[in-house]
Amino acid sequence: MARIQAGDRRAEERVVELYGRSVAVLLDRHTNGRPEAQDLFQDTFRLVLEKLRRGELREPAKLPGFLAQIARSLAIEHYRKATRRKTDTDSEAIGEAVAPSANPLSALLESENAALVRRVIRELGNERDREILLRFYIAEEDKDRIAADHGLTSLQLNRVLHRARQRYKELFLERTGKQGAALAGGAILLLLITLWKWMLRGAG
Amino acid sequence: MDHAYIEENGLIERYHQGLLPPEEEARFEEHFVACPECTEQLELARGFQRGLKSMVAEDALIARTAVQLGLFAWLARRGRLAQWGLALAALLVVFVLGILPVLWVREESKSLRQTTTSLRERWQSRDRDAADLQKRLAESEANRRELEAKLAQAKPAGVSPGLLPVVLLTAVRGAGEPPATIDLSRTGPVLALAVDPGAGARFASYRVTLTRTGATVFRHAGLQPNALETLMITFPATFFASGEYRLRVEGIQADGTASEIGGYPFRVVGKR
Repeated sequence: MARIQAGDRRAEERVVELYGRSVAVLLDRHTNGRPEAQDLFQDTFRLVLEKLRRGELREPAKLPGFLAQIARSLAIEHYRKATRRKTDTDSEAIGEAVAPSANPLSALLESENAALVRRVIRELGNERDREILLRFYIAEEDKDRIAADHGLTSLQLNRVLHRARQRYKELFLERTGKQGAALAGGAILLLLITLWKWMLRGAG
Repeated sequence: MDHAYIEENGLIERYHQGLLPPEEEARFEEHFVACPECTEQLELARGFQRGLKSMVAEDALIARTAVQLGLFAWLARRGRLAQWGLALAALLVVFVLGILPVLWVREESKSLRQTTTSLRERWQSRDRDAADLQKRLAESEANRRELEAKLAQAKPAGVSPGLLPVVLLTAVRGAGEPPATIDLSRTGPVLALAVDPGAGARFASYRVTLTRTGATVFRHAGLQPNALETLMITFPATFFASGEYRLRVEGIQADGTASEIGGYPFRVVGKR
């Protein structure tokens, strides 16, 4: 905090590196994966760093909560404004926003991602688990209902989902050859961080 | 908020699905922003869901393509003879569809040529007619000029051109109706009085009586209408003197009985 107040750009970059991924996840969830998440990401860190420079937050332990709160507020405010601009519901536009038109690179990444998931599904070797995954992730059915239909407890269902995610992670790491938790959103996050750094340097 | 609680309550899945109550969602967000492990699980859930959706979309596309390719698959299962037959039929259809417009264009152009020829012939015929009419007009003009010249020679000196030597008399029906007037100074040496006796009643002959102020100055019987169904009596101009005249016309039956047809008054002025 003290370094940021003193104008240390490296300290600011460190904040973005530490919390960038999780803020990106939060914004991705609140924007349902829409492109405006990138703008909100930059707005969140710009606002937070400005407050830190002014010394408005003195306890480092409260920084994650502070970040989460600002990111959430910005996302909510963004959609409140958007709702005021357009009061009628356009389901087609929402559909397009949820599934933005793919450029060749993102289409390739999506295709590779689909291949990984296909392999996970194949390796499950269990029709029940396959059905659970489809009902949960595609049909987005209520988890308790899925569990009840298959005679599972909530915990057992969580394990099925967790197992699938873990296998997905292993295959992803195997494919990329990277260590650690580099995931599908990593590339986007890196791009955002690079943009952020570039913006900071430009402002300085 | 610890991981045991998160796992027990399935917060990763519920957050991902947007099923957490707002307060719990806010608490979980404050947790995972500082928790790389939960962040990773959320990223995995998101990536897995996107991959699964792409996979389902691909499968749907493959299924649609398979349906479209079904025809080719069906063809592939047919015998060689059937394949050739179908290929020939398809070629025939393509050929017929291709040749029909060509035939239509040829037929249309033939019809167009015939129309053009016919129009050209009609145009030439009109040209010939026009030339013929031009020639006849020129001849007629020459004849007219010749006749005018002859007429000028035949006319006596002093006679105003345009004064007719024939005076057509008509019956006067009312007192106010002026009778015909003959100006002797403008006539030739001879003038003719013409009367239309009417075609209603046929007579064997006609008789005319000319009176001047009540006294008979001329009478003639046995007259016959000319080709124009007109009775015409010719007088030398010197026969008349200025005054009021009346020509009485009677029709004579075959048995000799006479019927008056009408009286035609006229006035003579001027001097010859």
